Amino acid sequence: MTAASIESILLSLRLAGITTVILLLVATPIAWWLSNTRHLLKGPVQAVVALPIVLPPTVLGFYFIAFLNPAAPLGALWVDVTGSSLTFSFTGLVIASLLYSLPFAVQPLQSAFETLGRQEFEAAQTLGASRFDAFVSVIVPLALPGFVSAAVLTFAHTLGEFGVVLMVGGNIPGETRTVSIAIYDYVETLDYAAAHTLSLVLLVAAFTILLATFVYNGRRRSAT
Amino acid sequence: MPRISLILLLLSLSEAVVAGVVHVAVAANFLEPARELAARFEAGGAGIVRLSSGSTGKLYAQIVAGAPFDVFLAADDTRPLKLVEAGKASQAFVYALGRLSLVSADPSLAGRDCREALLADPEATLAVANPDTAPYGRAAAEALAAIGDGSSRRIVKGDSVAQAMHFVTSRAARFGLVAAAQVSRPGTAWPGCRWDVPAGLYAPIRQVAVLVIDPGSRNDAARAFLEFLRSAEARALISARDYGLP
Repeated sequence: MTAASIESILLSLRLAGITTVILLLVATPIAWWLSNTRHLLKGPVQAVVALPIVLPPTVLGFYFIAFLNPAAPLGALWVDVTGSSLTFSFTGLVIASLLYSLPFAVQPLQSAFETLGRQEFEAAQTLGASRFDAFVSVIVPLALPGFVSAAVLTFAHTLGEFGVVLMVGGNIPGETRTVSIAIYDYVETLDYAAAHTLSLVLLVAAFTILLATFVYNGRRRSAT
Repeated sequence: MPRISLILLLLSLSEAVVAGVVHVAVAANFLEPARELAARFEAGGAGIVRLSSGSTGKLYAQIVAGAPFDVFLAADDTRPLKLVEAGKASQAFVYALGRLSLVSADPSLAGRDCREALLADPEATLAVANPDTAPYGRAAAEALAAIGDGSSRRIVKGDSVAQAMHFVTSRAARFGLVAAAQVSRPGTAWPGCRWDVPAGLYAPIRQVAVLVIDPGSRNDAARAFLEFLRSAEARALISARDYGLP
C-alpha cells in the first residue's frame, strides 16, 4: 500500500475516533432526556436528530459551505476566534461528521435507556446517590450494550462518510482526504489496484467491527 | 377516452424522440456552452441532447467502463485519443481551446491585479480542479509553478473545475484557477478580480470531441450533433464564450 493510502486510512480513523468520543458525550444527555421526557419539544428534537438519516449529504454539505465559509458571518466569527477557516479543514470535517453521525449515536442510546426504565435510577437516588452518580454508576453499566452500539455505529458511519467530505473537504492529503475520497480518486484515475486494496481494507474493517459488536451484544444478552 | 388517447400520444412521441437522443458526456468547464449549443441543435430538429457533466477523467473512466454516452466533449486531447486508440471512439477533433483564469470573488479585490493579490497573500486558500482527473487542474498546477507561487498555501481540489468554481463563488476559497468561460458568463458581472493567465504559462488546453462507438446503434443524431459542433454557428458561440478556436 502506498504512503498516500495509509495516510488516508489514518486520517479516517482519527476523524472517526474523535467524532465518536465527542458524539458519545453529546448524545448521552440528549438520549437520556428524550427517553424520559414527555415535553412538547420531544417530537421536534427527535425529528432534528434523525434528519441526517433522511437528508442527502449534499444538503448538509451545501449548508456547511454556505454558512461556514470565511465570508459568511458564522464562518468569519470562527476565523476571528480561532484564526483558521472551518471550510477545507480537519476541524470542519469533525463538525460536519458530528452532525452527520448524530442519529447513529442518539438512537441506540435512547432505545437502551427506554428499555431500562427509570426504576434503577430512582432506586439509586432513594439510596442517596446524586443524579449524576446514579447515572454513572447505575445506568451506564446497565446500558453498556447501548453505548457499545452507539460507539460502533458512529465510528463505522463516520469511517464510511463520503458525500459530505466530497462537498466540503477539498481533497487535501493528511487533512481532508479521507479513505473514501482516496478510493474515489483512485477509481476516477483508473488506478483500480489501489482502489481494490483500500476498498478491501474498509470492507474487512467494517465487517470485523460489526461482527464483534453483534457477538458481544449477543453474549451479554444471553448472559443476563 | 380523451385521457387514454393523450397517453398514447405521449407514448408515441417519446418513442419518436428516443430515436434521436444524443447522450453527451461534457467536461465541467464546457457545460454552460454545451447547454446553449444543445438548445440550438434541438431547435434544428435533428435530435434531443442529454448532457452529463463531470471532470474529463471521471467521464473517461465511465466511458471505459461502458457508460452509454454517444459523444464525449473532453477538456483535453489525451483521453479522447486514448479512446480512439482503444477502438472505443472515432472522429476526434478539437472543438475549443481552453483558457485559464485566476479569480477571486472577494468584492474588495475588484479592479485589483489578481495575480499580485494572490502572491501578496500566502495564507489565502486557492481552489483548483483535481489535477489527476481535470485538465484545468493540471493547467492550474503548471500556471502556479510558472508565476512563482512557492508559498505553502492551502490548495483545495474540486472534484471538477465546476466544484473549484463553486468554492470560489461561495467564497469558501479566496482564489481559484478556473476556466475563463466560467467567469465570463453572459449577463453577469464578476464581483472580484480576474487575471487571464497568459497562454505560455501552461500547456495548451486542447479540448477534443469524439464520437463514442456503440456497436448497437447507428448514432445518426450523435453524428449530426458533432457536425453541428463544427458549424460556423457553433464556432461563433464557442468563441463568444471565451474559448479559442483551432
